[in-house]
Amino acid sequence: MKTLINIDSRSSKPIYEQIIEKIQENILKGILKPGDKLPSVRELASIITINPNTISKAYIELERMKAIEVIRGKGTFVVENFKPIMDDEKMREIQEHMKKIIIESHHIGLDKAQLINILNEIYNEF
Amino acid sequence: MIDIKNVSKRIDDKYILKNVDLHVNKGSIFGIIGENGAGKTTLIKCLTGIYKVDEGNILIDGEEVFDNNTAKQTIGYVSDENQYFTSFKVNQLLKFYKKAYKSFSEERFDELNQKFKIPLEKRVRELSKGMKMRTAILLNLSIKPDILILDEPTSGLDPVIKKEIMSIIIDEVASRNVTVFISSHHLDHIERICDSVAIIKNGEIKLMSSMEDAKNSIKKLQVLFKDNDNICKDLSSLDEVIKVETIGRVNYIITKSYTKDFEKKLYNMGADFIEIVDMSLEDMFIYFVEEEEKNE
Repeated sequence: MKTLINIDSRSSKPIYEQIIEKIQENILKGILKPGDKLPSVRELASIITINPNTISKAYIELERMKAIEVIRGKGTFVVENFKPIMDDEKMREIQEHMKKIIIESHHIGLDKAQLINILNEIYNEF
Repeated sequence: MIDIKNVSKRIDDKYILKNVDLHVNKGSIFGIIGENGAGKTTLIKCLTGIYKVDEGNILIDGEEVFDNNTAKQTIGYVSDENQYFTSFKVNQLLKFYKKAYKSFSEERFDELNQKFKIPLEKRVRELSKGMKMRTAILLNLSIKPDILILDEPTSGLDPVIKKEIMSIIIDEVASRNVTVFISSHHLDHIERICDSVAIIKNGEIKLMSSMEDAKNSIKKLQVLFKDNDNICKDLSSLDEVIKVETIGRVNYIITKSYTKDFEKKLYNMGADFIEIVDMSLEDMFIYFVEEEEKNE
């Protein structure tokens, strides 16, 4: 878990957002599988030396996104069948990112087909 | 809960602390950072009731801390230098703590010492720097404090022990809801473990913010302008701007109140391209300290 959630304290992204992203990434890559137990807030805080309140905030957000669930008395688990919920704000953010990527690609001479190829390759890694 | 209200402290005729106003919530970790001689240790000594403040109040759970034995019973204090009698053996220190603090738990001591591994028969002077620091932390955790005050607990220690000490502090907060007040020069640690942070300079608080707000509002922007001449002066006069650095055509703007509106403002001033550059607490600290020097 320690290496799976690697926090970059220099990043301007708040730490709880980094934790959310790392856990999402691990779920996407299949490193964390449905039904897997996550470390408790206290355990994870201690392993990666991050403020427990920050961890707990990230867990609450992941729970709201229905990526993880808390079973009372048992712990926190990756949900069995994750149904992503569409989030308008996130959607806009992703569009912005893509726009940036397309502009940058254009500048170095990558065309649409090549870009789509790269996209496919990345998908294949998961 | 710690309430520091408008505290000033003079030593001789010199103000070491000027109108310090801080509030620390229960169960949170509060970091104080500042240059050497900025007043961190003095503030901590006021906070632990060692120094009497000249103006203002320091309340711990609503009670004035100076000369208040009941309040002090609940405070664990680890000072930046060894404060114990060097000829004492560790188990004599243990007895001393047991007499001094009603809540001292030998059980807790033994439990923690399985991790700390402090030899009880050794004298304080025979312990290494790291061992001394760990002994102090061990003893102060054994009193099961409500408030833990740590003055540079990791300075001069190796990375393994540093990490271990941080983990132990985190565990105390997670398991017992302890309130922690910590000063340190290891800003990467502060950044990771603190809920809130304050920057102190020449006895005054220059910034006090939750870690998250600091990350969201203090930013470094890389900006390109269509017309770069004279823009630097205009930028410096903006309220949001702390500092502008110009390297070639690129302007680096440090702002303390970043918003989308601020970005819009820059676009209206003729910005072509704006990008946010990562900024750590260490960078923030340096900019805040430098800003003052510019104004002085």
